[in-house]
Amino acid sequence: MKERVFLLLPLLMLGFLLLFDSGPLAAEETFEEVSTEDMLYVRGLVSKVDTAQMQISVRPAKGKRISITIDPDTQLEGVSQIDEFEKEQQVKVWYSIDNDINRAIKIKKLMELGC
Amino acid sequence: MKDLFTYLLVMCFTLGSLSAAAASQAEFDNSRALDGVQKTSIYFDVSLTDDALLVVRMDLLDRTIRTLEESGLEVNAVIGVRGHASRFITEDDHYVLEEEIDNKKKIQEWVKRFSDRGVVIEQCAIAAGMHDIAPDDFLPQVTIVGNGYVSLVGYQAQGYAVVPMD
Repeated sequence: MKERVFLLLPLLMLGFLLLFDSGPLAAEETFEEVSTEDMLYVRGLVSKVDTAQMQISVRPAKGKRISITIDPDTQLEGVSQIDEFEKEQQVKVWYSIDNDINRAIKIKKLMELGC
Repeated sequence: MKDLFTYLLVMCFTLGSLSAAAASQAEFDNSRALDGVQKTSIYFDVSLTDDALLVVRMDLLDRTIRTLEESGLEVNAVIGVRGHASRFITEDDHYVLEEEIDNKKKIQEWVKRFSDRGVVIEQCAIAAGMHDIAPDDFLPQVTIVGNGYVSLVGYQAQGYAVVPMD
């Protein structure tokens, strides 16, 4: 009986580890750096921050800037709130268009490594 | 009439300031530092973020090279670009904000002028990757190197003076 418990225990622990680890991994995988049918993707520089309107403008490397609206459901990475965004910061944005408004699903601020 | 008077006043003040600056500059030289020097090699480490400041630094960089040449020295100069400055040495108006486009054009002109004078312009490939800049998008005068820091170390080991512009 004791031997069975010793055998089952590591297996159970492994199961728990896989269960809790797979969550964030799976969530990460859904944000690919391409536009899909469900969401659009853009990488660019923050060109304007409007905290009152809860909007940031992003200028892609080649193209006109677009306004992105942030709502309470927006996932922010690298910042915790909109006023931490600054001009010229590099960001990756996943968004969807809802009634002609670009609603941010996720915004990731990229690290400035200085190199 | 009042506008014309204001304009003349401003012009007089500007010309006065410029001639005073030129006169004061003529009073000073670098003869002690350059005594016995016939050849010099410089590596300008450019990593500025501010477009306006970058334009000013380009002018300063040009003045530095010219002053050395006018002093009779043979000058080998390399401009190593990394960081946010990388965005300004690319083609067209890409990779910058709308309000930075005018200064980007000036920087592009400087790059062409420097290259025509034999100054080498190097871009760090790692910085280009960090800023998601495709190698083909850099100006044709720009040479891309694997790692800007390695270049800096190498040129310094070859005896180049490193001038930081950050």
